[in-house]
Amino acid sequence: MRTFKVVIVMLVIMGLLLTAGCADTEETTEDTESDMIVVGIMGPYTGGAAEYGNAAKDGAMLAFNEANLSNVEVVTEDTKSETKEAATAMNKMVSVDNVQAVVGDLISAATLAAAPIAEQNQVVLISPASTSTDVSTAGDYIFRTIPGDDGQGIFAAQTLSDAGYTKLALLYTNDQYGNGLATIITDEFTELGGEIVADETYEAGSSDMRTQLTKIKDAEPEALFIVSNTPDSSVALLRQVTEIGIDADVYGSEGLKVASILELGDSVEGVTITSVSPESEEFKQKYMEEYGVEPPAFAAQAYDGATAIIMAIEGGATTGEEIKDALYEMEFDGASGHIKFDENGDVAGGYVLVEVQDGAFVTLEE
Amino acid sequence: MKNEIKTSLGGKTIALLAQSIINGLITGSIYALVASGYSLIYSTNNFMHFAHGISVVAAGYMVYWLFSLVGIPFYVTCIITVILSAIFGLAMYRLIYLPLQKKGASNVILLIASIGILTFFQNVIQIAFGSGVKLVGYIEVSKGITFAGVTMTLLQIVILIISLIIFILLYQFMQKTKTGRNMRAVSNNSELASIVGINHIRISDISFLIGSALAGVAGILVALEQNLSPFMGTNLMIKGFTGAVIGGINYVPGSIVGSFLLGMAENLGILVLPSGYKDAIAFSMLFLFLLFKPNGILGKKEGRFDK
Repeated sequence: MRTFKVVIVMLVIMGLLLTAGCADTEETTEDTESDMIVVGIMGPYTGGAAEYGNAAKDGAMLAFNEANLSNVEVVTEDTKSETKEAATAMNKMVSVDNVQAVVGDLISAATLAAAPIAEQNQVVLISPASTSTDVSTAGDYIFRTIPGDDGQGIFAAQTLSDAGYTKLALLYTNDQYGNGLATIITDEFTELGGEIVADETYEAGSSDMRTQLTKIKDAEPEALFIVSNTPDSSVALLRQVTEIGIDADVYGSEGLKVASILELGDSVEGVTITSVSPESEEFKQKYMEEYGVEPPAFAAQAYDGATAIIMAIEGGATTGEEIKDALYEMEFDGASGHIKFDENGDVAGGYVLVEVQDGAFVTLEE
Repeated sequence: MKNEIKTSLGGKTIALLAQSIINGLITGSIYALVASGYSLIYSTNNFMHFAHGISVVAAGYMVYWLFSLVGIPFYVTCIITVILSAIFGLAMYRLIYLPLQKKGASNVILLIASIGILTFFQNVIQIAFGSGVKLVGYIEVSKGITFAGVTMTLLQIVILIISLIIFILLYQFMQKTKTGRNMRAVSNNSELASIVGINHIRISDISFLIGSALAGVAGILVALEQNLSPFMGTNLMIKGFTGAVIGGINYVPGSIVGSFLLGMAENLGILVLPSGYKDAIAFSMLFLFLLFKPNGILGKKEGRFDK
């Protein structure tokens, strides 16, 4: 019995040490006074989309640390790549932390789960990554610093059509983001005279898409477009594309732009990704100085989301409502591009093609 | 055009069917490797060891650490991994489950403890290795071998063969050795077994050692065949559990058969249904079996006097 207690105590101590070790960059804790404005960051720091979530958190923290506002306190919440966790996190931040503005969530379904709570409590929610078209109409308090899927879907369909493909296969994650983007590409590509020869889905986070890919192979497409928002699934399915021997050229949405896929080596050479315009050189330098790696997808967008909130607070806004009003008025050149929120809280943004060449993501010139 | 292909009985459709069966076998063998260890532990201990999933993931990360980072030769890495996995499993039993059992904890408490262990170590792995996806990179990703219209990689063939060998050895061990017979006796009726002098704790030790060593093998193969992320254990465990329930959770060969059936049903099912239904097929099967045949296809009723 004593050994058991010792082990439990050891585990607890280990847990505390480990969490303390990584907590130092997470919060800029200041004395909580009544005039403190609490700002939240939420996203998937664990679970299938953790790789994006941590990058976005780092990006947003960079902005808050730089601004170093004495009247702002930052709290973070892990939404574990799960929709229900996003609602729980939002509720907690609203009722316990009394936040006025939040940067997050990343996955569209999670942002949409948190949105009604934010809207109802007059808390600003700025997503750095949710591209589902539904986010546009989620409410007045809901913003995003990444352009919506309409833009990307149309860009992707046009790119594929311009490249001369007429038979396209789609493989996408079975959620709001995947279904939304696939619908837009299907509509646009068909209108441009192409044909969708295979339409397959998989559950986010799953790692076995062999039968879906077998069906795609059987349909003999000229190109395959992949929509993925979890890195573990992206790696698994790109590997299986090669193993099953699909001859089609492989394209994908910006979710594929994650360092892990480069480890697949030669088999991902030539994979082409439609991606939002790259981050500014200045931000890239800053991020690398701070974290020692190139900014992953969504870090710049999160930085811009945080910057927008900081600018609103610097302009004198203290409540969610005031921050919201300030956001609709502002305009600035951010790390991810020009930021000006339209009446839906969306930004325009541009797209580029990124290709895997010699084990690196290379932006193709227009 | 599209519909013609789907409905015709041309060579193409048969190839599609054959490939899907193979896909089902590959998926099934991974489920079965997870399920066999899990059901071995369940059958002798009678509680849900959900932390079995973390044994698999920990083994995968051990391969990544020892082989990809430290640079220990691959086969040595595999041996170390299996041994450490077995010890890890035994440690979980001795340090967490057994003390709880001695305090009179019910099986529900042990289930909660196992979920706690799973969550704890998932987070430890994330802190140690980061949240990103890891690849072991022992085998270069390349197009599989095509034979009679069916494509399979060498590794997948190896996985199938290794699983079959392991399952035969496991079966022989359970049927032919004294320890194996004692384990079956405990799983059949643990009270009766202790009356005739079988040491339950020793049997539990052995079941955790062997079950977790199997998790080690599964972890190595998963690390090679898929890729590693800290939270993959939950998914593996859910599918392994489903496979075990379908085949008979308290009977190891049953859980292996169930896992293969699950893999086949998932992959053949989405030939007909839209692929979004893949998980729905798995969980519909789970519910149907829990409702109508809770002991699974080959499972035995607890406490049944057999032979």
